Amino acid sequence: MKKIILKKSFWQTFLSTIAIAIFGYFALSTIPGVSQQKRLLPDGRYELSKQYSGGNTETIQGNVDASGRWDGPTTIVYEDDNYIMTHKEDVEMKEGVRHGVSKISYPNGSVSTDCYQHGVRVNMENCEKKSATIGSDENSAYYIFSYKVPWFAFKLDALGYDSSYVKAYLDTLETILYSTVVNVEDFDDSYDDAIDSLEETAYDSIIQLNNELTLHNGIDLILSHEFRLATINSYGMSDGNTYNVVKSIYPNYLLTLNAYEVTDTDFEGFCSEYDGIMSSYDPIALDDPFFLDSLDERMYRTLDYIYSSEEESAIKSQSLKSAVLSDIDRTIQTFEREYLSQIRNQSLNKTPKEVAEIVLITILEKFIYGDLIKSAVREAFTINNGIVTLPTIITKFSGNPSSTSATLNGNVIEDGGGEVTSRGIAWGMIYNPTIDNQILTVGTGTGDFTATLTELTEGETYYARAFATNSAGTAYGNCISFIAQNTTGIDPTDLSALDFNIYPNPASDNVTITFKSNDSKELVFTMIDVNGKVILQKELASVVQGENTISINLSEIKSGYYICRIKGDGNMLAIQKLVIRQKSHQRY
Amino acid sequence: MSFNYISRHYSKRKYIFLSSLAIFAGGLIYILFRPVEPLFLNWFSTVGIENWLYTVREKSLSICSFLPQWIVYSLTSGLWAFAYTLIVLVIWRGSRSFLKYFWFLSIPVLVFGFEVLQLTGALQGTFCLNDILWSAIGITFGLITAHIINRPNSNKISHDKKIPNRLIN
Repeated sequence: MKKIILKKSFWQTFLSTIAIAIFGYFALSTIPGVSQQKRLLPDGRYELSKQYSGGNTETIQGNVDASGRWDGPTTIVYEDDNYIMTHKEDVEMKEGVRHGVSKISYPNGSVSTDCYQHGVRVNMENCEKKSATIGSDENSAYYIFSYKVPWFAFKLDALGYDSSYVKAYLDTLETILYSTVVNVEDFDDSYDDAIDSLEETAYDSIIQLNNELTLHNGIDLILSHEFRLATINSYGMSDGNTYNVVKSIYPNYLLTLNAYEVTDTDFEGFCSEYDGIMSSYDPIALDDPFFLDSLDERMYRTLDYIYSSEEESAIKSQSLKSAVLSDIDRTIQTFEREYLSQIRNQSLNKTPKEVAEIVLITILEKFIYGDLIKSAVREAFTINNGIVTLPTIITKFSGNPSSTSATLNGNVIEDGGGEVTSRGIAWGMIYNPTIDNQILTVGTGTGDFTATLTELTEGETYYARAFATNSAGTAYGNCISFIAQNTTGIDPTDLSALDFNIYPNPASDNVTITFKSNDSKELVFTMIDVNGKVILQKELASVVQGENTISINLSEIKSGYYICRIKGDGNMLAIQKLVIRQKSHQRY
Repeated sequence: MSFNYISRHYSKRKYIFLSSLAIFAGGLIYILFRPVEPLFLNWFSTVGIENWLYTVREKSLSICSFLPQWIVYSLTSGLWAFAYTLIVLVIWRGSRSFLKYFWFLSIPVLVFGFEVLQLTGALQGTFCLNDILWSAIGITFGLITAHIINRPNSNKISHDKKIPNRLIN
C-alpha cells in the first residue's frame, strides 16, 4: 500500500513540476524585453529609442512640453527584422497622446491616415471639422462651463484639475459627441456612451470626481424640493398635515404628481401614512441647530420605509415607535387620521408604497441638474445645432416700498438662442407660482428688469419668481418668498425697542415680553406663523417710556414656530422668534 | 470498470478541458492584442507561420484601442491563474500525501510572486494591481470550479461498493 501511494505521489510530483515549468515559461515569455534611451537632438527636439529584445526598434522624435510629454508634430518609426510591421508615422501629439491627423507610411509606398482626438481614435471627418477650433469658440462647452459656473471650475482646480485639463476633457467629449449624436433626443444616451468610452482613458479620474460632485450639487438642489419644504412647514404643528400644507402652499407639486398619475386622493392617503410615521419619532426641538438635518434624515428614512415595505397600505406608525410613547401619547387626531387612512386606502389608485416611490423619484430627479459639466456640454450642443432652449433667468427681492407692495428684480441672463417675447414676475400665495397664477409683465428681451407688486395684503406671505418666454417655452427663476410689510421709513429714534425679548422660549401657556420704548405710543404685538398667517394680534395699550414688561397668555396657541413683532404707527420696530410647545405634545 | 471510475475520469477531463480553454484564451489575447514578444514570435517563426500572425495582428491591433485595458493587460493573468489552479487540483485530487500542500501553496506563490518580482525590479515589466486582482479572481474561480466539478461524485464514490474508499482516496 505504501508503495502504491509513493508511486502515485511520484507521478503527481512529476506532472506538477512539468505544469509549473510550462506556466513559468509562459509567464517569463510575456516579459517585455525593451530597453529605451532618450536624448536631445541638435535641433532641440528629443528622440526616444526603444530596443526590443527580438531586435525590433521604435524611435520617436519630437518636441516635449513642460511636463515632458510629447507635444506637436512627432515622428514614430517602427522597424522589425522582417519589415512587415515596419512603418513611419507622422502625427500631432498633444499632452503625450495623439491629437489630430496620423499619417502612416509603409515601405511598399502605401499610406494610411487616422484621426485622433486626445488619444481617442475618431472619424476622419472630425479632423476636418471644427475640432481645431473647439475650445476657442464662444459656443464651446468649456467656454460656457467656465463662464456660467466659474466657482465649479475653481473647485475642480483646487482638486487638482486645472483649466487646461478640464478644457481638454470637454473638447474630447464634444468631439466624440459630434461624431455620433444627431438629434437632441439622443443627447443623453450619446453623452453616456461618450463618458463610457473615456472611462478607461486618462480622463477616468475627472469622470469619477464629477460623479461625486454631481451628488453634492444635487443635494443643494434638493433643499428647495416642495415635499421637503412642506415637511418642514408641517412639523411641530399639532395637526401637522403634510397634505394640507402642500395643497395650500405648494399646489404645483400636486400637479407634478398628477403627471405621474398620482391623484390628490392617492397623495393624501400617502401623506396620512407618512405623517403617522413622522409623528411617531421623538420630537426635535424647533430651535435645535440641527433641526433641519434631523428632519431631513427622518424624512428620507420614512420615505424609504414606506417604499421598501412589503405591505401595500397598512399603517406602520406602531412599528417604529417605542412602546412607551405609542401606548401613552396617541391623540384623537392620530387615531382619526389612521382610521380615515385605512378607509381611503381601499379606494386608492396608487398605494402609499407607490406614491412614496414617485415622491423619491421627484426628489432624486434634482440630482440630474447637479451635473454641471453635462449641462455645459448640452448647452453648447444645442447652441451649435441651432436648437432653441429655455432662457436663463434669476429672481431677486428688492424691498417693500409699503406694507401692501413689494419690488422685485429679474435678470434674463440668456435668451436660449431665441427671442424673449415676454418677461415679468409670476407671483401668488403658493410656492413656485407660474404664469397661470398672477403675473406682471415687464417688457421683452434679455437684461435686468424691475417689477412692483401692489395691492398686497399686509402681513401675508407671498411667493414670486421671474419668468421669461421664448419659442421653446417659459423659464422661471428661483422662487423667493416675502411678507407684505413695511420695512422702510423706520424712525431711528424708535429703534431702541430692539431690546425686545421674549421668555421663556420655548413657551407653553404664558410668555413675558420685555422691551424699551422711547415714548408711550400705543404699540401692537403680532404673532405670525411659518405660513405668514397672523395668529395673534394684541394692542399694548399700557406702554410707558423706558422698560416695559407685559405678560401674554398663549394657551390657545398651537405648538409651532412663530415670528413675534412689535410695531407702532405702521412701522415695525422689533422682531423675535418664538417656539410654542404645548404640554400635550411634550415627551418624557 | 465501475460507474465511479468512469465518472472520476470524466470529471478529470472537465478539469483538463477548462484549463486548456483558459490557456488558449489567454494566449489568444496575447497574440492578438499585446505588443509582440520575442518568444511568442519565435514559436511562430519556428513553425513558419509568422506572416500569418502579422496579417492577423494588423487587423486585431486596430480594434485594440477600443477594448478596455483590463481585457488586454490583466485578463490573461486571471485566465492562466485559473488554468494553473485547476491543473494542480486535478493532479493532486484525492491525494493523502503531504506533498499536495506544497503544490497547493505553489499556486499563489507562482501567480503573485511574478508580480512581486516585477515590483521589486528583479523581473522586467510593470507591476500592476489589476494583474494581482485578476490573478486572485482566477485562483478563486479555479477553486470554485473544482468544487463544483467534484461535488456530484462525492456521494457516489463514498458509497461505491466495488472500489473500497481507502483505495479511492
